[in-house]
Amino acid sequence: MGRKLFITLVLVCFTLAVFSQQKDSVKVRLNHYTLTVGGGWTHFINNLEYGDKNIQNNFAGVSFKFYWEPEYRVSLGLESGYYHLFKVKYQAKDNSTAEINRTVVPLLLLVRMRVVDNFYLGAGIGLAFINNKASSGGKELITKTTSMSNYEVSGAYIYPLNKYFLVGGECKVFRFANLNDWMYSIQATFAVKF
Amino acid sequence: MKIKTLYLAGILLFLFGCNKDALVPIPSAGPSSSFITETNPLGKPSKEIMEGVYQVTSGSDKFGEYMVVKWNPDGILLTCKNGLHFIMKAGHLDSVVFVQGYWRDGYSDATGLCNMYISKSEGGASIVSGAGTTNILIRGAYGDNNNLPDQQLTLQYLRPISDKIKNANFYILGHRAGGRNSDRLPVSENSLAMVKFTQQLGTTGVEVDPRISSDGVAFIYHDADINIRLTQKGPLAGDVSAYTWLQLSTFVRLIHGEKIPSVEELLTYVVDSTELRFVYLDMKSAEAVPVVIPIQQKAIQRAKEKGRDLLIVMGIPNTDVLNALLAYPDYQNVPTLCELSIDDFKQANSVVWAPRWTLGTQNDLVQQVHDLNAKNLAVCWTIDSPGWIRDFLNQGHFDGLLTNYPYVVAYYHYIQE
Repeated sequence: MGRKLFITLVLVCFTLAVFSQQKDSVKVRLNHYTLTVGGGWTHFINNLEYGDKNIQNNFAGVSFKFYWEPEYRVSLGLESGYYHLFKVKYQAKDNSTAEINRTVVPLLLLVRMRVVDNFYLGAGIGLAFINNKASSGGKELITKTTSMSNYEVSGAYIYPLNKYFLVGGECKVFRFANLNDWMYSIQATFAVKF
Repeated sequence: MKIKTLYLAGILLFLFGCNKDALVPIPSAGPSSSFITETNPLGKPSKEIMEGVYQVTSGSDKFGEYMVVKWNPDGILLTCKNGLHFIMKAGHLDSVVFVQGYWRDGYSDATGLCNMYISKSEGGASIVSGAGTTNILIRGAYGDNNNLPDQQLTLQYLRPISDKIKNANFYILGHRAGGRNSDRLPVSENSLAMVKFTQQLGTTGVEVDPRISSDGVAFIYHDADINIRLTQKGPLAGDVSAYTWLQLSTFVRLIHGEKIPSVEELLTYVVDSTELRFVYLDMKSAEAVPVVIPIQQKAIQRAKEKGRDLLIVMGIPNTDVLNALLAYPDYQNVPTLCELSIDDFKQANSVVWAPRWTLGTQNDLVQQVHDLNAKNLAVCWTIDSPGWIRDFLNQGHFDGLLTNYPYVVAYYHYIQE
């Protein structure tokens, strides 16, 4: 009897300790995380001063973003992606066909702000890993350059489908400073909020 | 306020820090404004008469008290102590000598046109006839940018360049084939065009930067990577030595549109088309050593055959290059320039010792180099400040200075008595 009473008292005390300080109201979570995948058209702004004959500078690109969205208008995040900047085909002096491709993987810190309902403006700075692939005569040469000073500005419309899923569109301009590469991209985005 | 300024400066640095240096264009008053092409060329005796030290009797507030006038293969250089210099052409019509061109401040963007003449009675007749005179008055005017010259400039002949200086075996060496891109010159560093242009700045020798392509061709290029500081923006990027010579020739143009020269092209050009007396191959990779040596030897042979007084030396900037040289058969007969210690200089059997200028004049070591062999030379790199150039020339015993501002070295060298 005494043992049962003791256990009952411990459970009651534990329950009081855990739940006695809770408000009556329903708890509302004010900050979220979103994971966004984007895909669409990218355009390298051709500022090559030499060797841009037969340049192809429109490609598809993808981006991946992770945002922390607090209860304020401003969100912070990380962005990466994969963009094909250009492809140049060239007839070399020995009449062989050469092809040069430049791709970039940015890694940017983002700041995004909701300016009006569903409309956002963003900016990002960070690193970019630039790959140059030159192919000629059956041989391939890949050189890698890390660009330290890069930025992006973007504008986005994001429409919430429900509590967890969002779709939208985004326009953004990148500058990769090391090689003075400029690119813009228009992408459809799909986001998961959690 | 200060914090805001710092933030703003940081943002501007971030946005524009990697932008290219702007070019300082050669001023021009228009396509028909130059009359120098209609004049007759002056002969060698006339040129020798014109050369010398002049007193600036009007315009001295800008150009200083004295100016040195020195001919070069492409024209005539007028140079001052503060980096201001005139790149001019000269010719005569009857007994009047015309001198026309532009001035530049080597340390800023300032530039402008200049027109001058020597009248018949003020030395023109004597210069044209080659008879000789010490009474030369060069009159004219200079302007700013493309504006017509409107500010008076007069130079009064003071004395010839001293025999001691004329006979001295002294080298004015231009860095990176004669000048850097950062000095906003009209031609690219380490190009054939720069080798030609730099003689107008007063150089008598050049330093160039050999590397090697992935297929074993030695070429001239300073940086390890292809970048927009040195090249026009093109499709290639990354490690320059990773590419083949064909790829570099096809896809890379230097900042003003020139091709990257191969070491062979550059040395052939120096031998055949310039009056330069010194080439310093500042090796950028040890792997290039065995490739460059046969090219160097071929160029030396070519210079000999043409009767050229030309020293072509392979630089030894570090122990990797030194070891690569020592591994080369018969390395003792390779003319080299050693930037390392005197012991390394001896070990490599170098003919030129080249310490960094920040180590001082080191007269005792320079003397040691001269004592080892009377033909040995000592040159110092890379000295740019007018004050230091003056002090090294006055107090040091070097046989040459490597500089980005050869006209300043020329001024302080030729003005010595």
